[in-house]
Amino acid sequence: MNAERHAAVFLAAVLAASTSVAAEISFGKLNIDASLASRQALYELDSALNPSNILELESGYLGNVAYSIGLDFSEAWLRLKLQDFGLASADLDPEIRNRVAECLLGLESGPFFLDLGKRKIAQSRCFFMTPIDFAIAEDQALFRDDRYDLRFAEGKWMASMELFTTLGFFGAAYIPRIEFEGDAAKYFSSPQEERLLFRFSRYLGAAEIGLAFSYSNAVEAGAQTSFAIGDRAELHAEAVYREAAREDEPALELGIGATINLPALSAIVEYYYDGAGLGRDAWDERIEGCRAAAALGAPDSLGAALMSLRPDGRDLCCRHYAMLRLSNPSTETLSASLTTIVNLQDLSGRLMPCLSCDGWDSLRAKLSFAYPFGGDFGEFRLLGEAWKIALEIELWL
Amino acid sequence: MKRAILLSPLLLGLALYAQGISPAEILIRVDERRSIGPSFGFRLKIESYGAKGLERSAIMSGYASGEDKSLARYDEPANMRGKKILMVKDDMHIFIPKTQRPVKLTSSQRLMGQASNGDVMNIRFQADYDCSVSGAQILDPDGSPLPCIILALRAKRRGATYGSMTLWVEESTFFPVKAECYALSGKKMKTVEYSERREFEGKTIVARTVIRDLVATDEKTVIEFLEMKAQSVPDSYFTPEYLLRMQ
Repeated sequence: MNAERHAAVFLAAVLAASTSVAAEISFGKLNIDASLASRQALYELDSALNPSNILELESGYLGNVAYSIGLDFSEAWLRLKLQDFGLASADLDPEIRNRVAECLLGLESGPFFLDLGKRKIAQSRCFFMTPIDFAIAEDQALFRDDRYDLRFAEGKWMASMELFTTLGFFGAAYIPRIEFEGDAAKYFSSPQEERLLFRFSRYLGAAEIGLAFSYSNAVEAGAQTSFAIGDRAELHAEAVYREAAREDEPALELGIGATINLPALSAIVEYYYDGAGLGRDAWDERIEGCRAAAALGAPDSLGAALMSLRPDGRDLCCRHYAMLRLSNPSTETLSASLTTIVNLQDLSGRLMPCLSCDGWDSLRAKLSFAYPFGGDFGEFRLLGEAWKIALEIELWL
Repeated sequence: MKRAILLSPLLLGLALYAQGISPAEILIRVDERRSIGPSFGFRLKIESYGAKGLERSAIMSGYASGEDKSLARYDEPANMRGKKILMVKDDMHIFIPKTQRPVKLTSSQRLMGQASNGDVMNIRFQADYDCSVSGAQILDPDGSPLPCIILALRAKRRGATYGSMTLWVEESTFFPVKAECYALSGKKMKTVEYSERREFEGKTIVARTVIRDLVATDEKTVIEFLEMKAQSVPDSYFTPEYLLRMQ
């Protein structure tokens, strides 16, 4: 990087501050909240294979402005909830997208709950990938993406029943097939597949166990558990069988992890296995295709080669991944964390250090950095930014 | 004037025996003075003090049921609002509104300042500790003599907040007066003062607890019950799934 670029990077880093404002107003049993957040991230792309480079984007900003509006009315037996969010990007493809995240009528009678409308269902105890969450957007995973704070998980339209009994928690939901198209999909709600979902969970001794079964053209079934080990550690695991995971082949998905809390250090470590992901040979074969296309210097061939890495649009391409997150105790005023995600097949990954100052009741500042490692032909370098830095300031009113 | 007289545990034991009260029963009575009943709703304030005075405060509300179940939600400050905590025995989850997802915690993860989750969420000694009478002492916390029984509490399970405790209990009323808390290693960690009593729904209980750190001596945390009312909540609600539902 030359001096001019250094100067530009420095200036951009100073200007990359963003603000977000959130407000909440209560009128008796009606709560209204609204927030506005912007995140101006500085990034650099130095891989010729980066898909963003194919789109002829140069180093600079990725600018996003996100907003959310929420209404929540609660009575003893009735709940009305609306959560709407939108994202305006001003960089690659300037546009505004709006989504209804949740919109439901909830009825309650003792331990029985009925929800009609759009809602989220989260069951997983994993932090990195959450295979057992059959009916929630994938971007719900906590630490996978450093853009997480500006991503709002979208629920699904459904009729959902939940029952809390001494035998455990039972949940059943019917999710209809809805094909939103055009502006409806862009400004209202994403399309969804028909699905039946059944869930169960309870404590078994000191362990929490959960089961989930889903049918949507094919069977998906999963089990999970989590339990404490002493007073400083917990272990969580989940396994999911998908009858038709990729190319209609059955596959197993597995997540296993632990949280360890020492007096000055907290650690989360997780392993994720995706049986439908590309194995070492298949991955190497596709990477060779990328190398050949890069040598030719033909953007179309390169684009096609990159598309072959994830033909079904999955965020992760391979089978074996690990995540490690180290942080100081989360209730400290100044918290520092270092999160890394590694593809265990090609040893590429993303390193995400973050400093967060949480010492005020209505203000939070966060400085985050993301750096992919593993060479130009590693998964995370191929399919993401070279590096990125972002400063966020959140303000509650 | 500070006055402290150590009495023979044997004599005290005989006196308690004459009243027909075992150490375990004393502990039950102490617990009865820390809440208005087996199931209740509450609203409490936590204040964390450092060398420069008040550093942070929070207001939480929720329910407690039986010996080992509690659910609480942050009402204040703004940046914590809507976060919820579930504690069932040693199992603890936090719910963060942004993610709509319960996240499992370990019992060592602190809530705020010197207050561990166990300090706030677990208010019954009898579930966590075995108890014996180790002596008696006359304290004078307010300048007047206050005869106290000294109880030695030893954790009966690993998930207890402390490895052991020494607890001073007012002999005539069984109100807790102060405590010293020890880690499993035997190291003294904190002192606790049960400093204020207040009446809720016709019953007087300990309403204010001051927890001091013995390492960072400038730091203390004050937990104060603002409201407490008898409220029965089904056991089946104390699950991670209910965190989403809790209003």
